[in-house]
Amino acid sequence: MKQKKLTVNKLAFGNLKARKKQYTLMIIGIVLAMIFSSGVMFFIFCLSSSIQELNDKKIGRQDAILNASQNYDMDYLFESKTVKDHGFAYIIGYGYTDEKSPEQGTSVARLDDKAEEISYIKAKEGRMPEKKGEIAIEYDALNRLGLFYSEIGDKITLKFRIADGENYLYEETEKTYTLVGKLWDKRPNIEYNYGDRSFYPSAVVSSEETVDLGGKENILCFLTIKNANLPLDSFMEAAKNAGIEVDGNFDNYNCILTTSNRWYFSEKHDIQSSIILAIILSVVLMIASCTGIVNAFNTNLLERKKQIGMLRAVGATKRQIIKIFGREAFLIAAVTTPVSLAVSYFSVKSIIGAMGDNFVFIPEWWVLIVCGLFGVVCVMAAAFIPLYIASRVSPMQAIRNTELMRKVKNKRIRSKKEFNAPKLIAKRNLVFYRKKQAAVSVILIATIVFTSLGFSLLSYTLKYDMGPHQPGDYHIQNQTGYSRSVNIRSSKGFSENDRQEILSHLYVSDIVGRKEAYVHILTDEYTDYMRVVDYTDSIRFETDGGMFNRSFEEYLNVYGKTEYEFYSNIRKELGYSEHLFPAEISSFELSDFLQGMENAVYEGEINIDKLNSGEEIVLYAPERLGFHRGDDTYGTLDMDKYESGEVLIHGLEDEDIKATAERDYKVGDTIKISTLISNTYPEDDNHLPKDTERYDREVKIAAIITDYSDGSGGFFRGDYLDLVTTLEGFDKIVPDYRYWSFDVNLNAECTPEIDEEMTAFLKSFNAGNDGSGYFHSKFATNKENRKTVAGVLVAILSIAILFFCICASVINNQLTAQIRENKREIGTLRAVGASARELTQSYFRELLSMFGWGCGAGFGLYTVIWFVMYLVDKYIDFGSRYYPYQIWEAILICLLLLAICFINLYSKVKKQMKYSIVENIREL
Amino acid sequence: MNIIECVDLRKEYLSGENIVNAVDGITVAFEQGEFCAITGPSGSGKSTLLHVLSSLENPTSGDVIYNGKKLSGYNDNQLSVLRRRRFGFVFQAYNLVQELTGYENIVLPVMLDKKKVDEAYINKVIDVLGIGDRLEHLPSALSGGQQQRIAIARALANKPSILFADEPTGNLDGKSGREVLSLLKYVSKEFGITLILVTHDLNVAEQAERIISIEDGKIVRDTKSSI
Repeated sequence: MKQKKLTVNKLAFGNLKARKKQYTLMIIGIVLAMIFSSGVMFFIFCLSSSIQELNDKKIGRQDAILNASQNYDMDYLFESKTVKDHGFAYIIGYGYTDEKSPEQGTSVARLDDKAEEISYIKAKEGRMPEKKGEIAIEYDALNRLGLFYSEIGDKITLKFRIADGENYLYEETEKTYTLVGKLWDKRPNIEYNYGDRSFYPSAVVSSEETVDLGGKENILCFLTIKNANLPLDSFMEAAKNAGIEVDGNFDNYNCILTTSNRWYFSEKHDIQSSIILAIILSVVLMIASCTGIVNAFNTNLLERKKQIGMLRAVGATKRQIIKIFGREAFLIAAVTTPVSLAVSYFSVKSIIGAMGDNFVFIPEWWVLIVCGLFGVVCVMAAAFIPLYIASRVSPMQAIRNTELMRKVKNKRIRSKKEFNAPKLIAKRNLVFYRKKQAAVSVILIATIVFTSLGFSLLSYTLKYDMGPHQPGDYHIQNQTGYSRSVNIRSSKGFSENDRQEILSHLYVSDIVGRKEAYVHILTDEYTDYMRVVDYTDSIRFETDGGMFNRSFEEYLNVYGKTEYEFYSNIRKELGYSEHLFPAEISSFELSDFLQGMENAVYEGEINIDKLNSGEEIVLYAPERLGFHRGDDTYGTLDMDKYESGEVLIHGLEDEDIKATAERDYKVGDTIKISTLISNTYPEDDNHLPKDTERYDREVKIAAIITDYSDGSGGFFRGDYLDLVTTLEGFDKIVPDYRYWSFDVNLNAECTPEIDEEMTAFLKSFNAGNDGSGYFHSKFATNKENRKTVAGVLVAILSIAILFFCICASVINNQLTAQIRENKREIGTLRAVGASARELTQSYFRELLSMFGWGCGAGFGLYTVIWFVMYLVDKYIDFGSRYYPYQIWEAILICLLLLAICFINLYSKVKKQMKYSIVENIREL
Repeated sequence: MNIIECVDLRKEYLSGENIVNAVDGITVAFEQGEFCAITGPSGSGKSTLLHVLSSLENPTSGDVIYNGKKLSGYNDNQLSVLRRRRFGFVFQAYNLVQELTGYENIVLPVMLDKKKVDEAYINKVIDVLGIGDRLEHLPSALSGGQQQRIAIARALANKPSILFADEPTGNLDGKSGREVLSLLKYVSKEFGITLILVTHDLNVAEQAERIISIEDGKIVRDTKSSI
């Protein structure tokens, strides 16, 4: 008979086949451990890319936008090597539909390829224009143009003014285009952050379009800057030399430095932080995964060591042994790696898919490749290292597992005279086989940390990001006119007639109005407190680029003094003998006011009648103010309470406190306030309008508030030394002045149809002014918020479930393997009289101990991470929003896991009890 | 007076597709305090008979009667209590709990029974077995003979009525084997315990008061020794 050749592959396969059950358990363990790391890492990186993509769609990938770049020496700028990449948008004209409100239009541009790439102007629906006569427009612009219901393929006609360099020709023409795409909104996001930037093209045409005869294109440049995350001094210098009018912020109408914007920064910062966090978490996951894999191999390590001993005893060389088991490990890795990666890929795809259309699945293949390689290396290492050690000892040592015996022998144990048998055995098992707990503990730690952080994030999102930003169903707001402390009774804001008209609408139940105006507190001298407020508010008597660009010393020498021109002029023209401290007065409907004041009053008492009569007022002034700042920083100051009633204002760089000052006023003091009102804007910056009227009034301070925050930012948003009162009181101090905002409530549940009607109706009040007002629909926001919350919830729940399953499997695998390994000991214990109850008790105690360590360390680590996040928020980011400490969900998961593990444990012990004691004891 | 007996006891195993009658209708009784050796060739069923008698395995049919009560009427918990209070076991492979010290292994049945250790008695057993200096050691630090002595002490810890020993000298060298056997004989006499011992070694069997020979699951000879 011909003998079949015995190859290494056959031996390896034979080994796998012969121990199907053990290997199945081991392979499941490895797969789960690999999914644990690869799945979560893949999810984190894909989500990060998805958020980055969303951010790019909202604002673009550029670092700066330059309007009218034809006016600058762009070649110089590009040759300065401070610009990484650039592209041009050629504005050919301005399109609108309603000649009565041309401001509701958009500039129309063609983009070169680079500009399209950098600006990330993309079609959300349809496609980008490819040939002449085609156009793609942002949703918001379509709305402004009254073309919201236009469909892709529709012909649209725009009134058109041809570009003439920076401006447009006065003559109006008409152009008809085919709408081929609806673009992601960018202009509203840019304007939300940088103010009016109507040059930004919300409509794009194909590259075949050129400016009509007689016109001249306005060239918009989209730039990416080299090392945009570092200080931009060299870029600024180059820009200045190229003729671009830059101030400290590179922030004037024609220039937008997106990297200087706090919102952009915070988005970038969030993305970068999440990537850093992802890398840290990945390391934790890798360790957890590695422990899981090693643990899976350990489940039948003893047996494998014996096998090695046997093979060596019958003459196998070390090389042959390593070859056999190496092949076996490779086969295991070859099976487990693709399975794990495939499961991870499809799980993440489904999770992100279920998170709603705000999130796009962008597969980060490199993460899967790295995880795959890591998995193979880890499997090979976990398989090899103990086997290599086993192959180095004598065959009998391997068979008898002397390594373990030596380890046990070396433990210093003192006999207990009396003991609880299950407890003592469990304790000793934990002492001798500590490594076995490691995987369970590490995976529990990871589960607890991730789950708690996830639910913390969810609570944070629900508490802050989804909070009621506006109290009404709808909010319309239009800054009432003002100029250098003079209130202008212009067409801005809302009149009493507007209020009545809105109230008469079929769906409106009530309106909450709000008024604001500039006033002056009259004072005999400028106090330190006033100077600190003035400096840190950075808006009082100056207009050129923000007080914060100056040092405090400079401020004191120039603006802190009272001699400069405008201030002298006001005093002279209106005959003030006192000094003027500019402040704002905010007023609210009575109910709103009372609710806002409920927890805000620091001292004093509110008498509504006296407030309504204009006799009394509420002052916003912490007891003590201080600030510190770096010398060369730019941007805005943040503030942070550091003691009750005291506020410390931080600069962007920490330094010693530069100034602190005590409050000058107390409850019961009388202050003189003076209001300037005009019907026209001033002719120049240094004088008041001719028709300025002055209203003086003495008011008593009824109460002082030091902290107005109600968590949602919905109430008073004033600065220090500002005044608060009721609408009725306001009218006594600032006569005949318009509303600044309305919160409109509906009398019925909002439907998409009602929302559409109300949106159009209320927007018309803003448009009726000059179109620059702010509109907010709670219905639309809630819809968007619900989508985001659902997305976050789906993601967190999916990961929590994934963790839960993996955790349950790893722990149960560990227990199953341990019970199988301890079969003989179970038999022995049964032979000497241990019942199922005592055996279960012993294992349960072990389980409890593993859970105790894992949970203790997990909650401990989460607490440390949470605390670090809290400190970072408080002392580095100076935020007032903190991630809630959230542990109940993780506790629930742990209890559930414990229950499942207990049930599994009990059933496994019961299964062993079904065998006879002799079967338990018999060597396999 | 019979302390334990079996009636028409059968134990069948499946070996591949064949049924093996390891114990084939054995009826036998053991008296209080007697020392009986069960002997026979490998695979004759002697160990199986011991396992079934001691409730380590359930019979396929027939009854084991302890102190007049059929063990088939006992549930799992009752059998556990019986094993820790009335039976003692000595295995060929010692079967000590590796994580417990010598002393802890000895008192394990008492602890499982949640009773106080009778220190005088335990100390006497320890003295008799000569293991006083090995009590603080873990089993892995003990020789085979020492482990078997600990196993015997554990079997005696709860003052059992019957001591079952399955090839107790099988893993030991001649000298240790002889010592262990003498100890077993001594303690059974000293403490009035019935000793049922399985061995294939005729020299060991000859030390017993009664020798039962088994072949193919049946008793072929049951003789009282002249000793």
